[in-house]
Amino acid sequence: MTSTEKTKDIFATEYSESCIASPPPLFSDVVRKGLEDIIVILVGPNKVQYHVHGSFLVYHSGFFRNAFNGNWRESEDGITLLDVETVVFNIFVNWLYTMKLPGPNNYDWTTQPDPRIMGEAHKADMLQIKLYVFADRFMIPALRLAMNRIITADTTYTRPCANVMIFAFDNLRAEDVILQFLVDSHCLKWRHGLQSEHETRLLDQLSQDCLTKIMKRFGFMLAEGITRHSSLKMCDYHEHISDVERLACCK
Amino acid sequence: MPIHQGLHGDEVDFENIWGAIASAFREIHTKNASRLSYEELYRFAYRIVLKKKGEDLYLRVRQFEHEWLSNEVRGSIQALFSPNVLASPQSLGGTTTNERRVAGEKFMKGLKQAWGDHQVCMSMLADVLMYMDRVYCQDNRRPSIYTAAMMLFRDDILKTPTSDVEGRLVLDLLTHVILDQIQMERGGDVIDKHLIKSCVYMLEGLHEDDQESEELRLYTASFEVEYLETSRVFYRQEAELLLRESDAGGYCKHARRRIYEEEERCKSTLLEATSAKIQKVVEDELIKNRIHELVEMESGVRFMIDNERLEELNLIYDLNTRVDDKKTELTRAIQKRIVDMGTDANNAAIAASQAPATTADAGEKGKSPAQEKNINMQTVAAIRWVEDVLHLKDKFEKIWRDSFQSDNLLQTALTRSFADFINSPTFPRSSEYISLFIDENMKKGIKGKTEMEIDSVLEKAIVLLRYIQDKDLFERYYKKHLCRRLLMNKSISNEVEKQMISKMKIELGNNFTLKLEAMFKDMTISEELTSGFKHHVDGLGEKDPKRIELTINVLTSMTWPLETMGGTGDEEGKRPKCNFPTAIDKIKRGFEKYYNQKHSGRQLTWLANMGSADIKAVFPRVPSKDGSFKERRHDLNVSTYGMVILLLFNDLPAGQHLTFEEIQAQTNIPHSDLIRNLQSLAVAPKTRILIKEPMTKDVKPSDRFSFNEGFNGKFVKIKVGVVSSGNKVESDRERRETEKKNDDSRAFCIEAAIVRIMKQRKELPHQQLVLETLSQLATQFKPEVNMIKKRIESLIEREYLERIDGASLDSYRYLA
Repeated sequence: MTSTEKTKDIFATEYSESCIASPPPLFSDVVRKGLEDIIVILVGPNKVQYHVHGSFLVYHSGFFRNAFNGNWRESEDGITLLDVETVVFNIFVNWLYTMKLPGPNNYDWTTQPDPRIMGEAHKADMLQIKLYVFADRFMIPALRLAMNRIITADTTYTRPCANVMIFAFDNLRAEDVILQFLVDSHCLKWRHGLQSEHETRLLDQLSQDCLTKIMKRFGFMLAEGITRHSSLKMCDYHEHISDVERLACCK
Repeated sequence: MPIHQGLHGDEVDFENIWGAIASAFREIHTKNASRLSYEELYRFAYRIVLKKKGEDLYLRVRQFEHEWLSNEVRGSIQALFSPNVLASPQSLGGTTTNERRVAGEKFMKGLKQAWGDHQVCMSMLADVLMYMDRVYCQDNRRPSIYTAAMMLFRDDILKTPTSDVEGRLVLDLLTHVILDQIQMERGGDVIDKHLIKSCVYMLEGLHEDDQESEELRLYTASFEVEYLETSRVFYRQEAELLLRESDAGGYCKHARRRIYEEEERCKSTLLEATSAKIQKVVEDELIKNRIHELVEMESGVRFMIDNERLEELNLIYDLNTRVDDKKTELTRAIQKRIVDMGTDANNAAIAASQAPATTADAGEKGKSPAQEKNINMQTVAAIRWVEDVLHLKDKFEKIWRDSFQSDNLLQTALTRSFADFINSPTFPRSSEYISLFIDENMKKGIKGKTEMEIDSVLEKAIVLLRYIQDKDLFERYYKKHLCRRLLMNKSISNEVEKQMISKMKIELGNNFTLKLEAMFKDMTISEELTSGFKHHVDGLGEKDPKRIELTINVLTSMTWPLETMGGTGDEEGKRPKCNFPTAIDKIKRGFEKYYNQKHSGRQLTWLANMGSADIKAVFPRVPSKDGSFKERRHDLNVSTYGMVILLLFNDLPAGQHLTFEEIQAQTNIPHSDLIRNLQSLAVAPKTRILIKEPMTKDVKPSDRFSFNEGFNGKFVKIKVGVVSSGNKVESDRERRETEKKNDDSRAFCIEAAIVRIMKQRKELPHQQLVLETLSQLATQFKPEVNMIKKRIESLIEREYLERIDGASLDSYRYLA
């Protein structure tokens, strides 16, 4: 291999995210590859086995692309994701093959297969935020974008549950726009004295980052005269890459 | 919440995790990555970044790489600095080229290896640190870790000093080695282009600064500059050497090869982006700065032209075009050569036309024949000149087509140069010569040629005509020559004559050929008159067996240059009437009567000096030299004057004689014509029909003439030629006359042009009037400004124009 080719390879990896623009692999092509293309992924502490087509994984996810393309252990042994819940991975796999997420109703999310394997029944909002974190962590831009829209699209959004906020602040970088969205809706919908005991206990566990953000937001609302009757501009959380896209979205 | 266990908590044990990452990185660098879990490393880095330790991680990785490069890689590179690498070709301290090449290759291989390893490892590291790159580097506008690591390679490897005394940087050493290798290749060695190209790509991939600005790639900023500079020096020296040791053709071939080589080198060894720049260097040094010397070399353009080195000329054309759109140097050299060769042809013609004058003076005894011969030689010289010029034209045409790719600019230059020497003020004869060339071909040259060949001859004449500036002078000569051809029936083909006229018409326009065509018309009418008259005489009744047949040419006096025919132009107007013998006079009067019936009011002037006659002569039985004793009959073709003279002897009793003066008194033939005719009849050995006493070559007034009864010709038909009857080069005196006449008619043309212009413009400043006059006459001739001035003066005198008083510029007004 000459160094020219090497340089090209490196460019390809470095700017892999921009390569998403190329069309996704065709099912007809993928299924012809047979077992070679199948990757075994062990998910969760129980190491539930998933047999997934590598072509789709590699196409959508920077993480899986790197894991299987480099000379790593994974390219021989497959991959183990101990700290991923099967209920989240299920939704991801369904999305991966169908490009569809559960419907707009909470019901659609809470009836996903085996939500109880991890012990507690998931509420829709918690599941959604977990999927968002999953997409962010494993570099799946299309899924991350789709989840962003689902989370911010819920106009009847009530105040986010404290456990959702705790999870989000624990698993997203401080600058992630979804954190700001959670804080903003929290502050807008906050009703003094309307919290359950359980919720109040959870609120005590909010991280310092979270509290700081809430404090700043209340200050901002006071200054700008924002009241509970106001509403949020959802496009503020959409990470639009251009004004054109933003305008199109606002319609 | 159990699910969050292990993920939850702000505290990340950074040091522990970094320790794990760092040891994995070490494995990667030592090519032991296959047992590492990507998922695990990625998760470590992801967690660190999530917990706001992105910057720490970034700096640690950079530090790690810095140390790795400094401690592990640099050492292996340093190990490659053998003395042979550090040696420069100038300090040939015991190293051979081969040793230097091998050492250089080893050094480059090592560097290439280190660079390649670094790239591979860093791309793996970058994969692991992908989340950091996306989150931390993007949010904080840091270069990606991969890029940062490449910069480290630049700083920690390439920009560190080598161990040699001068303390050169590794980068400089690399440049030096590559340049050295390229120099070896220029010298004919085979080098590892692939290896060099790898190093070049490395330099191309790195930047001088941390902003990654395009123009500051190491290749451009560091290597290329050096490369161009050393190449410049090299080619400058090479040009000098080659100019000294090689001929121009070899130089051109070499230069072209070098240009090609450099182009190839950019493709195979360096970068194509350098191609244009190095081309410029080579072109500057090998061509632009040397083209003058090259063209002027002994084996330069002149030599190539003279020896028909078409390929070399093409090379030099190609080279000159590369550096100069106008091809100034080549054009200049070509033009000079044309003018030189043209001038040679001119001089040869002048020499040939002057040489006889001296021999004529030397050869006292036979002045007339010698002179005749001289004039013939001059004619030959004239035709020779035309052929020389045509040959020259063909030669350069061929060079232009084959070597100069039919370049437009050069065509213009060629045309200008031909016009230059053809119209050179030191050579006033071109018009006459070209006309003579046509004359010669009309009379002899085209005999037995196909239509195509004839056409090409005519075309050649037209080509030359194009160059002629003084078209009026040419017209004058052409008319004169044509006149002789027509009247003396010298033309081989009337058709071809007419073709020539129509070609001139296309080339020079209607006006030019108007009078020439009128001459042809006169000839046609004359034919009709002749046959008409013959018919008329036949109708008169009784047939006289002794009747004289008359062929007549009636010429319009303004159309024909009649004065040139007799060669005695100054006697025009007062030409004495020749006394014709009665028989002739009778038929002459008969025709005059016939003609007056057809065209009343026209006056016929008989030009006895231009006609000819066929006479049947009977020589009596007298013993002749060869001992035969019988009557001999000859058909004599003589000039009209000759006939008049001979007829005198018809009436003379045998044995009697006539003196020169008696002949002159009886015939009234002009003195010079008489001498010439008597020379043909009594001196020329083959046509000695009269006997002259005393028997000398010159004719003196006191000479006596008698009929040569013993004349014995070999043929029945005998043509008695008269001296100076063909179209020949003019003598200097004749030329002066012709030019004077030409100037007179020019004066008329100029006046006409001035009046035309002024009539239209009413008022004009002097300068503009002169310019417009020049441009109006450009197709005919180029008048001297002085002559124009004189014509203006004359027009003012005759009150066609007046000066405008008080005008700021000298101006004139037209007076209606």
